[in-house]
Amino acid sequence: MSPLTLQHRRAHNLLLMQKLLSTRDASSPFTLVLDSVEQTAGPLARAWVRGAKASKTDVVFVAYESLKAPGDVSGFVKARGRDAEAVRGEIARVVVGSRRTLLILDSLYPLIMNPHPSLPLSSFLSSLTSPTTSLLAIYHTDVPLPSPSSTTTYAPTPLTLLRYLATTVLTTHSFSQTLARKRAAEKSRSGPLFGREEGKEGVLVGMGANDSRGCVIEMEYRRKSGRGIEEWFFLPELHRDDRIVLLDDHELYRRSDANEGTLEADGLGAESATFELELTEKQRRDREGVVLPYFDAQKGEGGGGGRILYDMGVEDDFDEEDEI
Amino acid sequence: MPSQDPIPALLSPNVSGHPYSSLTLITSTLGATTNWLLLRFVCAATKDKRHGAGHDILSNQVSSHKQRVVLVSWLRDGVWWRESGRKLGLDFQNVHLVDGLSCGLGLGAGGIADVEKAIIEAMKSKETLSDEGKVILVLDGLDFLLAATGYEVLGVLDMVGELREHVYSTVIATAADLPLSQSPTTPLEISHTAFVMSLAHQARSIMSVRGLDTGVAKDISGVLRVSKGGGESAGEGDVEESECLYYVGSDGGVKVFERGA
Repeated sequence: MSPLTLQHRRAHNLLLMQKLLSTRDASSPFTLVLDSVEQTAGPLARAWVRGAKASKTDVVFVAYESLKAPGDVSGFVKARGRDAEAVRGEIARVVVGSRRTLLILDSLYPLIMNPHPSLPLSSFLSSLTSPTTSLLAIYHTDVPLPSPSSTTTYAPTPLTLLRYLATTVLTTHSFSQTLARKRAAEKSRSGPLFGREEGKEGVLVGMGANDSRGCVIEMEYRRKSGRGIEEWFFLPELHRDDRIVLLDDHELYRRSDANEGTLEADGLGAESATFELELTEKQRRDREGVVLPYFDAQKGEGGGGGRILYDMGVEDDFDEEDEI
Repeated sequence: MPSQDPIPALLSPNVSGHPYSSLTLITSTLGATTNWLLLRFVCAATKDKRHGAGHDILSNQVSSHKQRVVLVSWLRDGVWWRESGRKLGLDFQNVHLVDGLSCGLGLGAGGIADVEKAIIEAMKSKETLSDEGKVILVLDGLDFLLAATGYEVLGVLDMVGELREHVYSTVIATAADLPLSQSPTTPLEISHTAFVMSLAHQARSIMSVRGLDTGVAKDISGVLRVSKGGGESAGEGDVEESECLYYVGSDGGVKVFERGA
């Protein structure tokens, strides 16, 4: 990555994310958050609520699974166990039409599992948004949906549909697991697996899940022109003062590749060794003087192909199988 | 070797001092049960807060009152719980035991609504005895209902949410064997996985018990992994993620220790 493009990303993509977080200018009417137990969308939702508050936007939290709202919200709709129509009525009651409002749905699973017969998921979601209301919906990628029935075999899966509808797709990743994956990739190793991918019986959540330092967010923003912008961010935990940064700008993430290089270059490894790794001046001169076999081979009689140049020493026995 | 303290030191921060409205998910596999762990939860909740001093703000919220426990079990009967509890010196005065196994709770015509009603009644009945302290709800083997009755996952999850609003904190134990939590294929496996993962998203901490990865050992019963769940929110006091080994003795005593210790 050249410094110029990093500069460009800092200027544009970071600004875009900050704009999204503060729900300004209805920049994204429908934001879909894909999370997992390895990194829950909680920190993201809290940052979103705080950003909306800062820009004087109402926040209405629609709770399907949470008992309490993430932070200070202006409206709380308890949606657990209620059908889509009733929830929509309740939301319409809470949302003040003229004010800019952010709706947060804490889980789409109940909506997908229990859709209103006359109100499919897509129409339900689009009925919630308006020029002044934007939507942030959380989808748990690790909660499996039942296999499609005979009537829905050819229909797109709910996740496909949601990704299609969304104007921004955010995927959350655990910070420490992202670091571990990057370190492995730098050494051309296959990345470590976490949680259910570990394939160990009885393991649900991997080590390093829901890192308290913050979470990594993968953004896919679709412009009106259709062009997509992809970027990775690091969102620090709220009680820390740091602002959201590009993942590439994060100290620990950036350092992990430089780290390995400097360790050897600085002679940090050499100092701790009990023997000399450096060459003396004489050794270097002698080494330069050595004529390597391929220099011989290039002299004069080029184009000979793969001949083997070998001078027999005194200690060598002639092997009859060798044909020189 | 009966230990003096029924709750090992490494375990104590994890079994007590849970903040208000938190959910703790405990998962087991066929080779590693969670009975011993649940008993320690009940123990910690009914005993006075001895570990409170070192546990900062949380202990203030929990207060020094004895907490009351409503224990609902679908997999073990009341006799078994009383017997095992007695070995740990557990005082059942503050524990309301709902024996879901013997009475077939939730298997009747009333369905899931019956379960909710029975548990709420159990909570109420205890409240009249003493109005001090908080109720901690422990649900053991709730996933049995999914398998035995074919209830909708959503219905059971809604019930859990409803119950959580009535109590101080909740502990739920379910199975998480390989087919029931990873790459599910059959409808039962899918609904079980959806159930467990949904709870994991709501839980503040997840304690997973599993057999030893390298096989059976004489002095190790299994591995206990504590991880942060999706329900952990800022300012509640962090869950320390850890992984340690444990050994359950024949007398019910438990040792919990670090790897290599």
